[in-house]
Amino acid sequence: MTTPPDLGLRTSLHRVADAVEPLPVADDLWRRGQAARRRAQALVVAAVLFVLASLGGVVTLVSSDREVRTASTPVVPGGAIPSRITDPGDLTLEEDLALGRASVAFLSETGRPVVVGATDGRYHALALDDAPEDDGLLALSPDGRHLAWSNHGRIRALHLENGTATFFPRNDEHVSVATLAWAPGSHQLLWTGTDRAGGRHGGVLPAGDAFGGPLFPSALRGIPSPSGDLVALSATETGPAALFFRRAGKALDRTLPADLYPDGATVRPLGWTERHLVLADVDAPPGSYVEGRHLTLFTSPDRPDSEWTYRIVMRDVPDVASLSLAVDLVPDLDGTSSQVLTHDFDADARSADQRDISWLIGLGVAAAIGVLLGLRWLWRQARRSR
Amino acid sequence: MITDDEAGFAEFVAARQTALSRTAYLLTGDHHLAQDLVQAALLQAAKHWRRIHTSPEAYVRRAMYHQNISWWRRRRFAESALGGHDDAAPAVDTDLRLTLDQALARLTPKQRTVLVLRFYEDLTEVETARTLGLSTSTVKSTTRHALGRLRTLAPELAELIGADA
Repeated sequence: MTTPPDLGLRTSLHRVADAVEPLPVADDLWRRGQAARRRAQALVVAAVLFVLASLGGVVTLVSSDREVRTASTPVVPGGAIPSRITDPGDLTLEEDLALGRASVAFLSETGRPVVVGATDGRYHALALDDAPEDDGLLALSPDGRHLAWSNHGRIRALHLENGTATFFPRNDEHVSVATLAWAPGSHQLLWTGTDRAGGRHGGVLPAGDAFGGPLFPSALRGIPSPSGDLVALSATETGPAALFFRRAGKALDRTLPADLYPDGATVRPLGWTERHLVLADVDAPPGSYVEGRHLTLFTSPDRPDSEWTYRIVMRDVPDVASLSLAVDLVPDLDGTSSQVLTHDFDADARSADQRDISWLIGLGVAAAIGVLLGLRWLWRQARRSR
Repeated sequence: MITDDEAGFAEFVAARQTALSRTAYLLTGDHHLAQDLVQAALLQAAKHWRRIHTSPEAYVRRAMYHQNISWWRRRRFAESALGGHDDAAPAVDTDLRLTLDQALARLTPKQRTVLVLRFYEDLTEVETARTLGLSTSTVKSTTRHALGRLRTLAPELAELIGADA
């Protein structure tokens, strides 16, 4: 309640106000007000739609299989050997075998045949017919386009680009298969094993896209070089050298660097990357400069010592069986020690994940703003209805 | 053809425009600013008519109070200051209405608004505080300071304002 002196002020204010001549207001206020209302409603509708779209996008990203997301990682044209090989564990078996070129193949610890995509580094467990079992073998061709396997004497070769397979049934010549390897060129599959009489046997199967040239019988002892002059042999014991054979049958040693392997190492060749370069799976005992299983690239012994090179291509290779690589994917050496021979697909996946996270954060912020706008609109609707 | 809502709005504007304009003038101290203030508040009312059509005047007045203070906040840094803060206004005009008008013009919009609500709209301190979204103590202190400044700016109004108001 005002006090008596305030009444004087109140009266004076009314006197001032009463003297005011009101100016006219615009006659389109209603139309402008309704237009503003429609704009606000359209904004709310757009915000709600944006929220729904954002939430849909977030749900899609979050619920997507990680492998599907990494499929969007940068692709290496022509393919590359991955810088790291891991055992993926229990991958879902894939029925579609037309996967394209592979860089690596092996039997996982769970016994599943696994290939690594050459261009994207993705791991695939394959639902192969008559998949290799305990004594089975797996061999990826040098060009990464063919995958051969054996099981109880039966040999098959899969064309990874079209998913078709060639079957070589068990016969008197190969009752069981002990080794399976591709000759350079990826046209010929070399096998050794035992025949029905129990004798050692071996042969060449035309499993590639074309017929290969003639091979010397010594080729069956390992992996022949592109010229056929040398055969790289698998060692069964730890030793100071990698073993080779001339086509005429003379054995050759390629001494391993003693500073790397003072106690020697076990060398299993995976293929020839160039005429005189061998990619090998090396297992070195404790105390070596590079312990355990790793991949190396070294010059064959038919070259002068002065030309020899020895490169560690990959460390910490997991204990998987029947490891084979598409050796044609190893780049030609440029003579520098800094040349990178493999590709870090994991870094691609990490950067893709970071992009995914950035998208998620962006969409999350947008969704939060949209939700706030939507809540504001609902609150106002509720107030209006009261 | 106009809708019932539009007709209701037009009827409200026709009936209350004068009263709203007077309040707006007291709030702004300027005819054209008062016109803009009324139009801005009516535009808001037209936009939200379906929600406020049962009691539009309270909505429009509240919109005017808040809009006026909002405009002042935006303008105060752009405009040059007026003379000395507490210098007495030259009482050349002997008309009391003009003297009060000039003195009000020297108050801040917040002070003017509180005075208008308390002594023109005749709201209590609690109602004024609720309308402006202020605390009651703020309304009390603002009223005290505003009346004190009026006494300083226009000593001849002391009798009107009262020594203890």
